[in-house]
Amino acid sequence: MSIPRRAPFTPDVQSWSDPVSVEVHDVTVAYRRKPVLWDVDISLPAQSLIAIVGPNGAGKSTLLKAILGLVPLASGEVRIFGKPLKQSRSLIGYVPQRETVDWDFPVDALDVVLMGRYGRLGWIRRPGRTDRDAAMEALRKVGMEEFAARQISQLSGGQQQRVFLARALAQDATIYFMDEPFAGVDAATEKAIVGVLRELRSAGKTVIAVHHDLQTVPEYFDHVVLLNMRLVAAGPVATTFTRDNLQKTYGGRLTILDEAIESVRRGGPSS
Amino acid sequence: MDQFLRLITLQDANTRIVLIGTMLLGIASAVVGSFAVLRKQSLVGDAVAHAALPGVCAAYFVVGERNFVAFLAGALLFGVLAAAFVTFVTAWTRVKEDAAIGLAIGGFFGLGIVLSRIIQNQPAGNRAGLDSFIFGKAASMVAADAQLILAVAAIVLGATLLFYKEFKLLCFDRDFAAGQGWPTVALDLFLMALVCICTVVGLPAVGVVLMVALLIIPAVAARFWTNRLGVMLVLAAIFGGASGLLGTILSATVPTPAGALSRGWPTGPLIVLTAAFIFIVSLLCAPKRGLIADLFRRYALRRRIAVQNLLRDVYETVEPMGDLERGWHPEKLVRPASSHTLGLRRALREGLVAARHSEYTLTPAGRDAAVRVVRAHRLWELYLIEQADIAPDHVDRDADQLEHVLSPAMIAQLEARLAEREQVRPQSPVVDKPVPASPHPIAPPVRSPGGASLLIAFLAVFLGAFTFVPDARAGGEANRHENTRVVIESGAAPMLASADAWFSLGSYPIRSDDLWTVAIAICCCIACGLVGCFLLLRRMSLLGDAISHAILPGLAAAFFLTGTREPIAMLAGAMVVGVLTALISTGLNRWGRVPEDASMGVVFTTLFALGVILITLVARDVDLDPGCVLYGLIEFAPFDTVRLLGLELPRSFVWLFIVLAINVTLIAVFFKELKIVCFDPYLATTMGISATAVHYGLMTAVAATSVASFEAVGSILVVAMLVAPGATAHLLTDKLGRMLWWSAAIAGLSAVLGYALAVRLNTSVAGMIATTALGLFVLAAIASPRHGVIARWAHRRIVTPIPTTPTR
Repeated sequence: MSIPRRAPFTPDVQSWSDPVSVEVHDVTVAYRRKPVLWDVDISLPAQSLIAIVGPNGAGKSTLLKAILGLVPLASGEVRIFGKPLKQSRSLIGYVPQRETVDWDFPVDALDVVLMGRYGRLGWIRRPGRTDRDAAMEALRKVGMEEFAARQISQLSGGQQQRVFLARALAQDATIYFMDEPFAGVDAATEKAIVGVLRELRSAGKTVIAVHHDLQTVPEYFDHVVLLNMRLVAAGPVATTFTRDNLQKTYGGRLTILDEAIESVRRGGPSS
Repeated sequence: MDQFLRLITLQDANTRIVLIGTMLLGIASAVVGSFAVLRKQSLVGDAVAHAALPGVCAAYFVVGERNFVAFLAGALLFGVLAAAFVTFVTAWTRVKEDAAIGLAIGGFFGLGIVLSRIIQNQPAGNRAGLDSFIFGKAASMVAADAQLILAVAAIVLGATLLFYKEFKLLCFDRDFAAGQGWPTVALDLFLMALVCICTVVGLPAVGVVLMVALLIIPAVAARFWTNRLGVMLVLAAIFGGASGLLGTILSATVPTPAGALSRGWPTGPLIVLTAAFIFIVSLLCAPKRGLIADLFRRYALRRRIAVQNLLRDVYETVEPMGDLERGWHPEKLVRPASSHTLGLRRALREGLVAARHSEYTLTPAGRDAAVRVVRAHRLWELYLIEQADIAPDHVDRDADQLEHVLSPAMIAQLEARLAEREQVRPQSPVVDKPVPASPHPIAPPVRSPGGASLLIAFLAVFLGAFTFVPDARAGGEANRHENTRVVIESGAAPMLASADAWFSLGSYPIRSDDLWTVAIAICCCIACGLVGCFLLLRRMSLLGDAISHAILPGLAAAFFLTGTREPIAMLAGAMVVGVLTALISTGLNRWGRVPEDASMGVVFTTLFALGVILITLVARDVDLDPGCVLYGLIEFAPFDTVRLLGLELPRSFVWLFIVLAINVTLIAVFFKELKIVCFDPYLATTMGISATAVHYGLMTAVAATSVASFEAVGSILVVAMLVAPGATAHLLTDKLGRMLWWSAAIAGLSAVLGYALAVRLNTSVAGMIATTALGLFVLAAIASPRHGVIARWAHRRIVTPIPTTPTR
């Protein structure tokens, strides 16, 4: 009896023509036995602005942290510019979510930006004049130079975000990872951030940002990664950011998958 | 034996009282403690318990005699004050909750020591009465005490019954409760008042620190057995009561080794160790949440997966031949035979597979099972491809991992979905049950990690996460109570190894003793104050508290093993226990799902009890005095001198100066690393600055500082000085460098002021310094130009008129 075969399946992940910046191979991440990222497999292009988009709890930030080695991988591997993470640290800039730090910490804006230089300095060495200049320059780029001596708790949310961005700029990295850079910022800051992103792109840098505002994806970004625990689609915004793909990302069609994963977590079928 | 019989048959009236008293105490505190643990306030309970000491002393001042009701009222007042202090400092200043708790513990207890010393120095003071009340012993319990405990237990249980619904809501979702209009602050304080009452009546039996154990441990143990609050309370009460009963019986019946300091084991620590034993049994053996059950479940799943993998492999091997009854050989299957060892063994035992000649066949039951397995697998694969857009070359592996847990209901659902698309037709030549064809060529898995891999992967995640940075802080807090607790718990029995061994009155210092005392205090305070800033910013303030308690069993064990009091051995012992405390409480938190603060409380109180027992064993060889651990011997420290560079210097000064110098050097050298790790550990990690390394470095510095300080000035000062100057400085400046300077200055000021006040009032120097530090903090919290309550309030007044849009 003949066995019917389906037509060969083509995943909606387009092959990139540009050089590759980040490769994620079969990465699975679990918190407390509950997988939050399931078997994600993508390569991202270099010199491009890339948005990671998906519903709440889709694992967007986790993907970022997995790439940066901040959460342990259950399986899979990550390469940045073809090298394992340890060898590519100096290429990386990171903008965490604003809530992850204590804004009452006794530092001023310039101090925070100077922290961006620490990785470059290595152990023990202190930041010097060049570092200070670079930090001021970074503050200037985000329009915050007059706030350099301001304690960080005295800054508005948008200003804090710009300080974080300046810190990433001070890292002078090749590839930037940003976790919701536009979350809860004012219009002026949003404009400033977009300006910086475009400047980074024209300087040949790569930016990978978790983004939550679907409206602005086509305007701000070149490429998009649609994520909902698994990779749904990835590619240039024009071809990938489609109604159909978004429905797949945000529509709740995969209840059985969720149920099965929940079963795994509990260690057996629910029946 | 006779004694034992008499004991359990309650023939002896006195024993009866003690047994009933400790049992009731266990029950009452377990019930209140359950709410405190669920409210995530285990360690606030700790602060409340410590505040009982100044409360009792203040009551003594007021009534002038040993009056239990007055003591209770005083302790209650101060306990609620401490709880309120923590609440308001957290709400009104930028100081976080852990630091607020540390401040309350160090400051209030310091105040208690100051007051108790003043009372002891009063000529008419009923010293013995107060002492026995503070340090009391279960054995000295009299009928009136037991009646009081009975009354308190009745109040506590009554309140719990009355306010069950309210407490439940408060613990589960405070904000929701507030939204419904419940007075959550009042309820919180009421809960803390109940904790406080239990603590006060428990003091004579077990003492402050081990009292905390009675609050936390039974509750945490009960949590393992049930998911229902009501059942948990009943179980906690049973565990608490049983601990009290068994601990008392043990202390009365188990003979102590010859030469031990006291006749009979100390009751408090034995009660706590009994509770700890119940906890460990619960942790391991509880049917749903226990570790053994968990392991067994995982093994059962692994077995089932192995059998299912075998059956599917067999099916897929014989499928092309169209005959499920054919014989097959493990070597000829699609996957390597080695991967089927466990599956084949289990399948034979379960009668799914039969051996025939040199081959195997599926039994009828095995054939049914194989059909079920393959059907589930292929339905699942089709679902993944069809609905989840997973590439066919990935689908086999994903299906592998999940198909084993598909329930019949889920399979029916899959079928229904796929049937809509006509995906499921009876395709297989083998049987007429609807097994769809495989959507991909059947081949051995290429890079698949195999069937049970997910579990292994999860385990790896666990291990990985365990070493992962931000959580490592959990453990250290556990230790802080050790010193103070020893004193209180152990009661009359002198227990602690301390500075007095080096103490020789024979030699006299060259300089003024007073100056040396102040110098020692300053060195200690500044050393603690500097390190404390980073603890504060890293939100690990309770680590100092924990480590100063871990020192006790660490020191005892070091002495036990080496037989010497070499500082290096003591330091090593203290640090090993400190790290151990961190690791165990982190482990409990991860694997046992015990809340972070409660797991810390469980570990450090248990270790502390163990330390007391150990010291009882070694006590005959050491000159021990509980007082010096708590208050330190700073007044006498200048007499214990050592010759260095031709100078006769006090030994404590030399040690503390060295530690201070090391701390200053380390902070100067690693300033940048400490700063970034405290501010943003994630960023530090992405830059290759290991937050874990910095974290453990910090912890080592705290341990070393504690050990060196403990020699001279007692633990209470360390606890207070690790938190108070840093917290005060944090309110005064917005730059880290300046904060360190401020902290050092405030620490030095506390030392000088505290010493002067202590001399003036003729009281404990260490206690007075701690109290002064707390006073300076309160001053800064109120009056700091930018972050004080007044400034904030004034600022709010200015900002208040918000420009509103004009209404038309």
